[in-house]
Amino acid sequence: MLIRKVTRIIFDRRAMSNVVSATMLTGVVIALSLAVFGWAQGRSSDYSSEFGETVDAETARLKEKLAFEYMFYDASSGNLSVFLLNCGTIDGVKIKTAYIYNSRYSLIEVFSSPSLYSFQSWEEIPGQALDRGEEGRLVLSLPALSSGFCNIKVVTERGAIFDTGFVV
Amino acid sequence: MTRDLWCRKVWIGRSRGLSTVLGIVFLILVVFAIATNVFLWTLSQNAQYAQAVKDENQKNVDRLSENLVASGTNYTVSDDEVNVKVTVRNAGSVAARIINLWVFDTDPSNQRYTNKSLDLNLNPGDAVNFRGVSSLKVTIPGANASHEFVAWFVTARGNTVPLESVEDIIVAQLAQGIGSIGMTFPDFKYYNVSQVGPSWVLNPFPSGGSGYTVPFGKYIAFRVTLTNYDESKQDLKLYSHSALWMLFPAIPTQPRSAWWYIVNVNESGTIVTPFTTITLEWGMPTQVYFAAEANGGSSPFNKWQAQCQNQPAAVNLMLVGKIGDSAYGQNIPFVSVFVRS
Repeated sequence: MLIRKVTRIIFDRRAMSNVVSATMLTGVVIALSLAVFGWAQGRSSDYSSEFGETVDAETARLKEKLAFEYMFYDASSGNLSVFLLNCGTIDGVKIKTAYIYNSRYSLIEVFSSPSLYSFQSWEEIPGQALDRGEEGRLVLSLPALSSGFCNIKVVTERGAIFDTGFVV
Repeated sequence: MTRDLWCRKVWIGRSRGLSTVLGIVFLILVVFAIATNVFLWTLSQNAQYAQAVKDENQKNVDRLSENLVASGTNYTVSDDEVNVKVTVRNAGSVAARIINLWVFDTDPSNQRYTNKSLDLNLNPGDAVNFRGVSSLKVTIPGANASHEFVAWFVTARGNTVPLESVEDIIVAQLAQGIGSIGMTFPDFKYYNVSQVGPSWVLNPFPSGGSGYTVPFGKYIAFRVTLTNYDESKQDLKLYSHSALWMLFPAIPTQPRSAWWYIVNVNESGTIVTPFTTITLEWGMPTQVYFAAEANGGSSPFNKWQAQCQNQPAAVNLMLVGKIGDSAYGQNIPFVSVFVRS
């Protein structure tokens, strides 16, 4: 008797099909919706994060400002001293590359991550970064330059570019 | 079909479209929520960037509005020390801060440079004189008085301000005097001198009266405005032996002349003792007072000769001192006056 009842419950689906199918479909839809929502949320979060980082980087780059206080080329040693001032509104300005061009704007020399020294000594600046209002000196060893007007371009780690001219 | 039956059939009896409706509703919600999220985030980031751009533009405007003028520059050298004398004025519309002075020796034999850190804040219209004891001193090994120098200030905004030299001397200015000294003729004044307690006071001070006609027999003092036009641009120091003295050539028997030794006078017109050396900086008009009967004293001249009344007199400047590090002495006949009775 019991076996028959159980068998009937299991195999007789005539009264359950509508409810179960509706419930299952609803459940599947909700589950899928939640999955899609989670995935889309993740994607949009990634996008937002990337966009935020880009905006932050651009903003930081915008705030960087280096002034060239003085340039002096010592022909006897071949050293070009570049005196810089961070007059921007952001700390931690690091020099990534310095390019030297001649008067025809042909590249003479490239310096990757040149050392930053204090103004009055040969002490390297801690962290090789200039905070707001700080001054630093680059000493770039160049081949003999012919007299004339030369240019220097300094690129920071944040991607800001500053250039000026000097006379040899 | 009754209303009850229709409701049953549409909303209760038919469950086949429920998942589709739910799916669409969820989809719309998802799209709407995410789009709103992304839109607002983008908006806030754009606002942040726009604010940064605005700030930087304002800073650029401020930097361009900064207008400092450094004029009347003079360089003197003692050993390796270069004294930079300059007047700085903020002629711009924004406050400025000077953080550095650069000095460069342009002589081909000694192309050296140095810099000196400063912390000077100037409001619009403010002016600061770096002269005398407050002149700016920097050390350049091998510097010499005959060398030419160039200098500039650096401001906190990254601007450089060149120090402009005093205009070159023209012949007409030198003709005003003889040698290194020039005199401003309209500014030759005399004062009555009276005793107040132990002090001697010039009045009316500082206006005085025209020095070309002076009263006889009174305690008087003179003011002359002298400018040092020395060719080597060195400072000229005047010692207490310096005096203004008069000769009366129209008198048949030349009496002993009248004289007034150099004195220091403070802002209220009182003669200050003991005397301290007076420096005539190159190119800077300086007011010098002559009043004392004795070298280094404060009591005014009181040895008028009776024959001096109603007579013209030749006025001489007897200057004793130093020019740079060298001794200097000169007697300059420079004006004439009439001594009334």
